[in-house]
Amino acid sequence: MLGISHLLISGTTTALFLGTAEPSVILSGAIAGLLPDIDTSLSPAGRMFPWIAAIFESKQGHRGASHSLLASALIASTCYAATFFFPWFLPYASAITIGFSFGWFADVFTQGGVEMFWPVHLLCVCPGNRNLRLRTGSNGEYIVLAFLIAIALTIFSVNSHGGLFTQFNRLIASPSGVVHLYNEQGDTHKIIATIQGVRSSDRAKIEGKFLLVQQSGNNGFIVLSDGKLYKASNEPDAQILIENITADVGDTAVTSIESVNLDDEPINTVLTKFSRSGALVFVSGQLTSDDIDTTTIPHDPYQFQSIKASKESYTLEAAPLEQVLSVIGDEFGTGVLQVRSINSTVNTQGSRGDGEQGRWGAGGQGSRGERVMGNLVKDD
Amino acid sequence: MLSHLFIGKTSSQQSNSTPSLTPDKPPEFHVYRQNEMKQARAALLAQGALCLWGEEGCGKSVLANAIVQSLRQEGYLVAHTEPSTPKQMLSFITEQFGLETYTLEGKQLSLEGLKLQLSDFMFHNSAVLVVDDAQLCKPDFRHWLKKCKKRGGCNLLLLATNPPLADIFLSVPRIQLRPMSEKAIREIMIEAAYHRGIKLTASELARLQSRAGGNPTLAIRAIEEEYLGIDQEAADHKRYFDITPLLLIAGTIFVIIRFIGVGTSDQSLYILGGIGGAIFLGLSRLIYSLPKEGRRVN
Repeated sequence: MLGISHLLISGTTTALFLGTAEPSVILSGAIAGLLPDIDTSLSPAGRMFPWIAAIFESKQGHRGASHSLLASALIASTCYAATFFFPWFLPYASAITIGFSFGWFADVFTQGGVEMFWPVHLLCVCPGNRNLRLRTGSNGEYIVLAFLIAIALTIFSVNSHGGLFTQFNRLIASPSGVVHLYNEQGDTHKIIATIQGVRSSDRAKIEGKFLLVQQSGNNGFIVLSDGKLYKASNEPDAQILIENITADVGDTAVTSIESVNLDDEPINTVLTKFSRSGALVFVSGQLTSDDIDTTTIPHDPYQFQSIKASKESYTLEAAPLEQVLSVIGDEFGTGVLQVRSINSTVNTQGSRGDGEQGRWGAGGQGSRGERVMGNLVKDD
Repeated sequence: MLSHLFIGKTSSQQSNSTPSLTPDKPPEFHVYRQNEMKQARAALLAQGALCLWGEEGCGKSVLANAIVQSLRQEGYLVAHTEPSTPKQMLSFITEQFGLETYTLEGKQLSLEGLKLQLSDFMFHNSAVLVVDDAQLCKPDFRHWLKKCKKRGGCNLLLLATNPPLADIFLSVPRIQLRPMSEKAIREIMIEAAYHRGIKLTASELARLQSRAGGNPTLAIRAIEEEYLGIDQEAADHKRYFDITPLLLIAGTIFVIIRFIGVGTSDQSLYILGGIGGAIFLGLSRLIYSLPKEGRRVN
């Protein structure tokens, strides 16, 4: 097989298995794909290390020991042993192992085959019919090469856009894919969900981008758009019934959870300190209050009801801080609350955080009147 | 050409830095299959029978020649024959043992007469009979060999390519002639290159050696092809192992992924595993429907 084929195969498999688009890692894997051919002085690796090639050439035929599982194990153990001393070498160790292994494995599809199980002298091939196997430098190999280039470009593109699973999840647009991305990046980035669906109350079409606040249920989400909260899922209590949902990683934002104990204390006083510029703050938990009978909780049937009042207590679920302060802030409460803050890291250096807050808004229920959620395709 | 198979002791310790490994003078005679030769000689000298078998071109005939030559040098009476008609073979063996093939009346002995005379002779004398390519001998002749062995006193060496499990081959102990070592094959190739007058570097020999597969005949053929400028990558030896089924087993990984997707309610894993499994299933059907390689040259 030609050197360029080895480079491409090893580079592509390295990118595929490691899910990376890092050029130095892919290059390491690609170059490692040339190493098995060190057993002949005519190869690039053999020309670079002629004394090693000479040892192989004097003892055995081409595609022997260096094209075997044993050689791969040797390379892997050497590379991974090096990572004990140089931890930064780990991705390169994986790349070299994968690149080397697929470098020789590609020769299985050539007419000559490889001694994969060396020192057992069996020439492993695929398929069994030699006429259907590749011949080095033949037209068949160039056709395969063209396919390889296409596959390589696809994989590099997929990896540079979040990886195979992310792209696949985008393709199938299922809630589990969003959960996957949320679990992966939710603590350090804003997750922007693109939802297509219908409003559960009147079945109006919904299409738009929402900020994912938190997961609700197995495959449901509390999302925010234009200062309004919605529950998007396929459950009966959702405001948005999902047809398609994909997610993208947004700006850097660190999510922190803090717990607050209230012992008949004014809610305003306790929670005001969490009102930070540029941060989206949501409160969850349960509070008991003596004034519960006199308080009226505003309710918009098109939005998620993040504050619910029963006879004895308030139940808060992802309630925007401003809304909590405006609705029940003046009361004295007892209970435990969890405060989720989504802090834009860029906010500390500039005013972008405010922009972000303004963009998604968390100002409170009904604060902007009857604005549509997302892009309401069919408004009522 | 086969006589070259055991002539191969060269100066393999030549420096690797020299571009050509072809020696300047003819190497000395060398028998590579020393163990098999010793075993065969021991069996024959102990009035036993033995079958040496192996693949086509593995060096049986040359080994037979070497054994016959060594026994004759030591003064043993040895007849060495190859497949022909039973009567021709029996006549040839009779002549080699120095027996008469004609009756007192001057008539040529019949087939049965030859058989009787030879079996009597081998029973009463320590004569050795070596039959090359014994699998090609007629059943009638092989049956006679079996009877001779049963009677006793028959020092018999059979050399066969993948013999059937029948008649004489069933009753005679067998030794397989396994593929030769890489070192031996390399030396045979260097010797063949010397006789062809071509100079080959270590890398060229390494490339050609992978076409030999431990078979000395194929090793010499690779040199011949190089001499004639025939560019070839695949070889005819029996060391190829089709790993297609192993690759298809890898398809089960997708099925496992699918189950993991079901177990963890991960829709994307479930779908990816399903798609991968279906593709592998289709590929396996495709690969198994590919035409098989014929045993004839094509």
